[in-house]
Amino acid sequence: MAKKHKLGGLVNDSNLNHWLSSSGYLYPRNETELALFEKAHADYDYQLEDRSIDVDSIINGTLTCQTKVISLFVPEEEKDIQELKMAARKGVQSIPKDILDKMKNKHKNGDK
Amino acid sequence: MEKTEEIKTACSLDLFEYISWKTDYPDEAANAFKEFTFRFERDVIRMSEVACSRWGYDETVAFDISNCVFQRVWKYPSYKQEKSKSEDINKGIKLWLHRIVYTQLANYKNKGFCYEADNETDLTLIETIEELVEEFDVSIEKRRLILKRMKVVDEALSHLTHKHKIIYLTYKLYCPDGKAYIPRPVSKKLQEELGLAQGSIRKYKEEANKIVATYLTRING
Repeated sequence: MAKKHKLGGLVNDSNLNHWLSSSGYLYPRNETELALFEKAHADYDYQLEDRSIDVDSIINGTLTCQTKVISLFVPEEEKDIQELKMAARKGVQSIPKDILDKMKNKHKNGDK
Repeated sequence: MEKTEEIKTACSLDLFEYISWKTDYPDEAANAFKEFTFRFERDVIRMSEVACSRWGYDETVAFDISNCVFQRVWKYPSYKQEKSKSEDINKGIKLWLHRIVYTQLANYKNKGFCYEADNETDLTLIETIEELVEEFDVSIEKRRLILKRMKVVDEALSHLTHKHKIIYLTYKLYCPDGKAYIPRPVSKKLQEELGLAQGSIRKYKEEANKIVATYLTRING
């Protein structure tokens, strides 16, 4: 007989959305999911506990976001992707060896 | 101008009304907004922080999103208690604010200003269908068991690449009834952010659904 998985029987297809909505991946849809979220995150290591909303900027209409533009990809990876796209367009005949190696490595490591 | 006692003790629903008078009574509206922010900012900032961490953004983004949520309230204090899933006014407002958090999150573009949602993309306007799950009393439910269930969700999603995860969660937000299409502006944002064509996004969504389903089948036997 197959051994039962230690996390088996807790979440399945029929209650997946409920648990996604209770754990912060999606918004809580009702009081139960809100209560579950709050209970589960009672001792979460919040980094913004000492920050407050910039009420005056909102009222004055001068609110600006603080984040800088950050690409999801590091520049080197972005360059790799462009090279791979070019290789895909040109076909295998004209692919330089170093690009082929990069492609092979990407396949080996998974396309993450 | 100091907040008056009347505003300090007002019901949260009345604060929306004060805020909506900002053209004619700017001081009262501003004070009501300050009081409203005082009551709900901690919930919004915390929810934003957890949501951002789940979606792969840092707390700087979470703080921007939190400010954007309150900017939305200031501009459009459109909460309707009669449409709420909760009879408790403050819980109903929290649920509504959390939808605004996820509207900002799913449409976050990092361009230095807040996202202005429309009828298609504003999650406070999207009806959700809730599946029937076993009834239990959260107050007596063991926290250990709750965390264990959430660990399953974490594990299931940990098998997704960043792109798969963003696409999977965006579809979950905008297609709660399993419909095939997300709003066009949301799709465009995904294409720009992830560098994918629309067809690839659909493919990623299918793959992500399969990966999560496979994991759940494997652990549930």
